[in-house]
Amino acid sequence: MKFISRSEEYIMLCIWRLKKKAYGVLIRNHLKELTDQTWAFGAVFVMLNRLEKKGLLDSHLADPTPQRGGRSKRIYRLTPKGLKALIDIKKVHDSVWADITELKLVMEK
Amino acid sequence: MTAKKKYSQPPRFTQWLLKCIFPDRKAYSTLGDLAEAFQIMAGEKGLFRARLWYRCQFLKAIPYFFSDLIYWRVVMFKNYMKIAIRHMRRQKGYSFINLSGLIIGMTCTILILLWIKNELSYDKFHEQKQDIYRVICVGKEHNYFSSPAPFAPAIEAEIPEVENAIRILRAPRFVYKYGENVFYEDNGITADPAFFSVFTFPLIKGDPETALNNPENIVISEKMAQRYFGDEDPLHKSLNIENQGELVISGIMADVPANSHFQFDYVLSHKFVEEVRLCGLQWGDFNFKTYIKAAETRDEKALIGRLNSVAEKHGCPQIVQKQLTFSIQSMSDIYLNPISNYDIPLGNKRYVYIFSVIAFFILFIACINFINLSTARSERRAKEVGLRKVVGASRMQVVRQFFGESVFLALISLMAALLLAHLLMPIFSELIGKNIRFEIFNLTNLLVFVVVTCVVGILAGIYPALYLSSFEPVYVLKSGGSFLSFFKDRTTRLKKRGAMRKILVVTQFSLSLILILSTLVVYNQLNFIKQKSWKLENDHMLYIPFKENIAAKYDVVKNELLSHPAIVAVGAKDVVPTGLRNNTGGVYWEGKTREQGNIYMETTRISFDYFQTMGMDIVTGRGFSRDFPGDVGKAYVLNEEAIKKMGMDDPIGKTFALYGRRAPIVGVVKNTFYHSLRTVLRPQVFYLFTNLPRQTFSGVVLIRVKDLQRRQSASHLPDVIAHVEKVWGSVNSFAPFEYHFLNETIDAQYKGERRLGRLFSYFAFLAIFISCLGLFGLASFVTEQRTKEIGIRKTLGASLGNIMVMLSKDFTKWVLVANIIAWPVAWYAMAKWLQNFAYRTHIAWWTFLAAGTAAFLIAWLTIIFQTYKSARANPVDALKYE
Repeated sequence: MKFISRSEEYIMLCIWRLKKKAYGVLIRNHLKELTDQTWAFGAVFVMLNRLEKKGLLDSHLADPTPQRGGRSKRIYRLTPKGLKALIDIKKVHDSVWADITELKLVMEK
Repeated sequence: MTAKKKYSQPPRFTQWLLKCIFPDRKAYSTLGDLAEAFQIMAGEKGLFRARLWYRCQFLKAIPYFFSDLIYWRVVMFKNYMKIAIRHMRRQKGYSFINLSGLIIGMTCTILILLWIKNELSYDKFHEQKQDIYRVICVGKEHNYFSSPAPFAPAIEAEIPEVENAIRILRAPRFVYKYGENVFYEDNGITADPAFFSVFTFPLIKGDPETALNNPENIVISEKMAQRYFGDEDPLHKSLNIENQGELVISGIMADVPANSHFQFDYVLSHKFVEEVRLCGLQWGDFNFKTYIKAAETRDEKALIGRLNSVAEKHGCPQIVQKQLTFSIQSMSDIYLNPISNYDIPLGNKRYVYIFSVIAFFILFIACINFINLSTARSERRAKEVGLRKVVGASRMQVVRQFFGESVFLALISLMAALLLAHLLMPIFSELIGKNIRFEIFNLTNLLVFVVVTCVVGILAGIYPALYLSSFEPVYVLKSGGSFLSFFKDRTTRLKKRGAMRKILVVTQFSLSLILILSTLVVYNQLNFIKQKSWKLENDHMLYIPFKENIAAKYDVVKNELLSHPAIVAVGAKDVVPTGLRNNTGGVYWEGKTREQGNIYMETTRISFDYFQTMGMDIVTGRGFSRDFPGDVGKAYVLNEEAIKKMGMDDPIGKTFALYGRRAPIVGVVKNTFYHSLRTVLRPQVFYLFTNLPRQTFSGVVLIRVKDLQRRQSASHLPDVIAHVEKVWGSVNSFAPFEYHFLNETIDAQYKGERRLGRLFSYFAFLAIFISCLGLFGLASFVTEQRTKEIGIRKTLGASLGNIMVMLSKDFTKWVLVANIIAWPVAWYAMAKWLQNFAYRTHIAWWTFLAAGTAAFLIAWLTIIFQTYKSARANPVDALKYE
């Protein structure tokens, strides 16, 4: 199978963590916390669209809030396929990183 | 804190822009996300930074937006082109009809637009055109463009707004000689010295300020210089005029542009006119055209008032007696608004309008073909539209596609039309009698072409585009499955669509019919003019000008001429019969009442034999004759019109006075028309030459030649002409021999009308041709659609005739309706045109009938081939097909 990319992985992870509150702004903020970098809106939305097209995510509209000028949020959710892709990539990470513990020690020196 | 304050909005305009360019349905929530991020940023970093950030988001989006847009446009454009070309290839016949119609229409339009452009360009090359005016006279019945000689210097001296006033006189037809080169010069003028500083006619050699200062100065055009001097330098050389004197060439000017309202090859000084007394120079002699260059600060109304008061102060009789008032006409108005029928330039604003309308008609007819054929054949593309819509095309996209197709077709036609127009230009130039240059890469021309293409594209494309894009995919696609439901739906649609098509065909034929009718009326009028104009039953009429010694030795010349057996009569007149007339209000008659006021009469000096030579019948009394030598200076002959105007019952013997010279009226002559019939026949007074050689600048000897054998009339004419030349040579040594036929000179007056007639007939032909192309296409479409019906009818026993009648019934109805619409319109338009003529034919009922019948015949001929073919076809084949 084909693995998802690193940024796709981050975004999907964010969405999984945020559970039912995952929408554009929160995802972006969470990504910032997670990676310590500012993500452009464009980057986030392009990813979200692509993942949705691939069938790894699905979305629905939630109630509007006044902060948003009366516009509703689009809430994202992992599809089973998306969840599987995430699990797959985690397995790969685990197995790839399994025997490397020294790296950390070296870096700490 | 209120909720409003808490949530400050992102910049509204940017937000709106973003909303416009967001590509998809997510626009709403994405905008929301942006708005929320904006809130957060505003809270953290302040409103200003947040706004800046928001706007940056928008700016960053722009390049992507456009690259995306262009990419997809190009992809779709390629697809559209491919489909369009495939369709054109698959339906060669229809593409041919569409394209040829559009090409012909556009060619006509381009040619006509170029002509109009040329018409509008007249006199625009004068640098001071804003400030130049022509002085005109407004009379009670007619307007004139002449003014007396002392008028110009008077207004120049007395009215401060008049910076320059220039008198221009058309020079008589002089003969000039240099070395061996002797020519008649038709186009000469005389002018005041400031001529070249007011008008923009650049001098190549010589000083424009002083070129016309002396009476013997002459400025000639390059063309004329070439004719006399060849490669020599003509400046300061002398040129012989009429064997009477020598002129000095003081300047060479560039040839006068074709779009100047006055055309001339040379300019003489005004002082020459005064020196040789070329014409009357008093305040009562209206012989000159006066042009004024006004100061920039001027009030046209006040200027006109001052012109009149100056003329009145100097005692100009026509102004004092309130017969005329002076007015002015701006230089750029002159060409298209001739104020009288004698005006030389004779452009015509009306013709500019008429031909613009015709160009539009023809283009419109071609567009109708396109509309009809593309909607008629829309079923073929219904599936394509349905499929496009199913895979996500919006209606706008389909509209754009079909618009694109029609513009594409228009572009192809434009290319072909440009080529065609280029090839046809010489023929067209000849037809309109004007040399129009055809430059494709001229800015205004290019603009014209682009406009024409867009007009055609939009006119032809808008209805098909809207119509085709309206298809519901559900209906057009499911027809394969359930034929019946689609059929039901289709019939109602067909009915609705048929109505539009009917209207268009009727419009097409109405327009063509209007053109045909107009052509017929124009030709009718031309025939009418021919009949009414002066002509000799069997004989020919030649005339030769009074040149050199012809007038002085008139009696010798006359006797010599008469020695030829074919020459039956010789007479003389003071101007060519069609030439400019002398009009005077200075007439008085016995029994004149106050109420009658002034009558303007045309005065004509003639020789004894004039009436006999011209074949003009004397109604009462007698004509002039050598039997009454006392008639010289002591008798008048008037025409019927003059008698009628004066209200005389028994004119013979009554006293008449011309310029105060009293004499009895000895005869009344029948009205004769040899002037353009656009003008009313004038009252005429004839009187005899008193001193032949001195009173004739532009006189002619009229020679009546018997037509010996009508069949071979041409054969003895060369002999007669040779004889006339011999006689000419026996008295003249300087002026080259020349002769004219009078009927040709009379005919030449209607050159414009004949041109109009010919142009009309060509355009009418093209219009009906394009209409028929469309009709042919429609007929073949309709018969094709009804193949099955025809098959079934034939199986059930319908005859060939039945089917042909059935098929042509609709078309006949349309043409009939077109006739009914076209007749009143054409009648109205032509009645308007005929008002140009003082004498006009009535519009006969048979004209309408003829045009109507012609239209029917043409329409039937067009469709008969199709209907006959399908009516003859074997019903088995028809029912088997599909």
